[in-house]
Amino acid sequence: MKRPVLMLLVLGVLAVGSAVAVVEVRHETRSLFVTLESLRDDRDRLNTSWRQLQLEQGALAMQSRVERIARESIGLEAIDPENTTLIRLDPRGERQ
Amino acid sequence: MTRRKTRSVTPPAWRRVLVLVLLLALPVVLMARAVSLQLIEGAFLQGQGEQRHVRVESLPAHRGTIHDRQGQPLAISAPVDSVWADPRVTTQKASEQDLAALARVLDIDPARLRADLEKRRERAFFYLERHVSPDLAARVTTLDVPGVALQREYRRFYPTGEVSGHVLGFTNIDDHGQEGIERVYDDWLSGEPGAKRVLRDRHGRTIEDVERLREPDAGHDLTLTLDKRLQYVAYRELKAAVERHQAASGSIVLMDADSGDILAMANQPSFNPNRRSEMTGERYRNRAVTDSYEPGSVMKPFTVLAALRSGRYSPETAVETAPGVMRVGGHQVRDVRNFGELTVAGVLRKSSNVGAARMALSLDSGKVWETFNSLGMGEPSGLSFPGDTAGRLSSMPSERPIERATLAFGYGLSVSNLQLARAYSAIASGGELPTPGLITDGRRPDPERVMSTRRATQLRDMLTAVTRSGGTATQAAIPGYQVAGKTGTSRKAVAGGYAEDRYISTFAGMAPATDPRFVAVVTINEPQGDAYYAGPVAGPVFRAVMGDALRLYNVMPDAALDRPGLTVAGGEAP
Repeated sequence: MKRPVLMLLVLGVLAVGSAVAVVEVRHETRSLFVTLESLRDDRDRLNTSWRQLQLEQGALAMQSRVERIARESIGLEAIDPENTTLIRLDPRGERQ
Repeated sequence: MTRRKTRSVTPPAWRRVLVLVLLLALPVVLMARAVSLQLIEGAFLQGQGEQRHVRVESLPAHRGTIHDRQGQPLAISAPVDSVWADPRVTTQKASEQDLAALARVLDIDPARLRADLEKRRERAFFYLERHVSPDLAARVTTLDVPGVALQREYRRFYPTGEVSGHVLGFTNIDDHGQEGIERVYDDWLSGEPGAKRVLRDRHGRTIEDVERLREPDAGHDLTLTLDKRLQYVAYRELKAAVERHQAASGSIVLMDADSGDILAMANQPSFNPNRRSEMTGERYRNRAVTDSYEPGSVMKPFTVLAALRSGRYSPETAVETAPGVMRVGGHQVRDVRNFGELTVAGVLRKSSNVGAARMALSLDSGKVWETFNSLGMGEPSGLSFPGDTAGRLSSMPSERPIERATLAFGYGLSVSNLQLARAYSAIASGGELPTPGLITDGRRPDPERVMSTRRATQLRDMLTAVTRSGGTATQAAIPGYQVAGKTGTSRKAVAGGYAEDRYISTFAGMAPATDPRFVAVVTINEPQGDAYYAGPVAGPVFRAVMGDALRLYNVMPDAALDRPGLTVAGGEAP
């Protein structure tokens, strides 16, 4: 075959190949984008529920509530000097 | 050869005509189609196109979380939905029943809803209700009213509510800080919303994400020096005291003595930052920072400091206070009773005005003023907070004897609760005046040395007597610890002099006195009833808050053995 014809054939094959590659990449981009978006949605949803859980924890762990339960339900008391024993960790510590 | 040649030269005439006719017909067909699209079906197509279109949607970025020093959340932004309508669509497409149902769900008057939408029929966006509950949002979605949709927004929640309202401040509905920390650090906390291109269907719902134009940039988190546990105790005790004494207002500041970190700061009356409706300026002012008042006797330790500095006084120097009244330039300075001859330490323990005035007048004029000035009186405390007041201290020391005398016991100047806490921190830290702060990693100026360690120790020793029996604030004593502090019961200035029955009761103190860890200042404004002296009014608040702070931070008791009731185990003494 003559050289120009050969050239034409090679270029034609390359053009078709590149077109197919473009389609392939486009498709891949789109499907990756969909995955990315759904992962982002997941992240946002998890973030949202994490924040709501934090709020819930804040409401449940409110000091006034904890204090009320500690005093009324469990019967805890704040410590005072009468029921405190001080422990010196230094064995050579002198009593004043 | 001849035949072929003849044919090619003369084609039949009809072929030429056919080609010409076809060529002429083509533009006519195109024209006709264009006319039909533009004029006949134009409106319909345009409407359809607008309904399925690519739009840029904003991606809300949440505001940074505010934590306390232990990482507990104090302010969180959580997503909520807002209901909005496209009045152009809703006014045309929504049926009367649709609107009635929507009005019922949103709990608004149906006639009002229709009127609101009609008024804005040219507009494309109108909020029906902002920040609705998830439950309500779901019900709105179920109704499926044309042109009505939800928008994701962030709302600020404050888990501690009223307890730390004054420090945190609050944001407005558009998530911008309006007061307190939220306002000072608004830029740091605010996020930058992102944008994405989406394909919307004719119901305004997003059917496909096309691309991300910009990622949302979330706001930064902030860690405060507050300790949520101590903040709660401070709030609870202050509130109880203000109620018990039916006081007009009250403030408390608890500070780390060395660093100036504010561990708790509370005021009464208070407000809940979660509820915007109950906010009035009167309630959301952080009085500990913004309000200054004449401090009265809590300034006496600094007068004594000026006296010690002169070299003419030591803690044991005798000061004559008999007969309990003293005339200074036509005015009277008086004590609650005649204390007779006191030592300098005794002047503090008994809080003698005459003693303080006599010491101040014996010094070079301006010495007391200089000392006050060096301790930050008359200048802002340096805390990055809206309304950080400078208080008031005359710009020049006065020469008039009466003004020199009254300054000695804390009149003729005004200070904020925070300024007092800062000045007392200088005594507590061994002579260095810290800059108060609310942010853990905030850069603050290094503490400035304002008195020698020896003077600070002398002052602490003298102030420890105030909370022992015979002092003015035995109610502030904490079992197991030595507490140094000073009371102040000042009369409020009113038009034409000082009120007979309106007081400000203050207790400023530190513990443990031998090596102070914390400083606290309690102010109760206008306590009613017979008990208005600072000891019984402000002392118990100090004791409760400081006691819990010492216990929670495992501070070693420094007075274990000279108080009954505390057992010491271990330490096998030979």
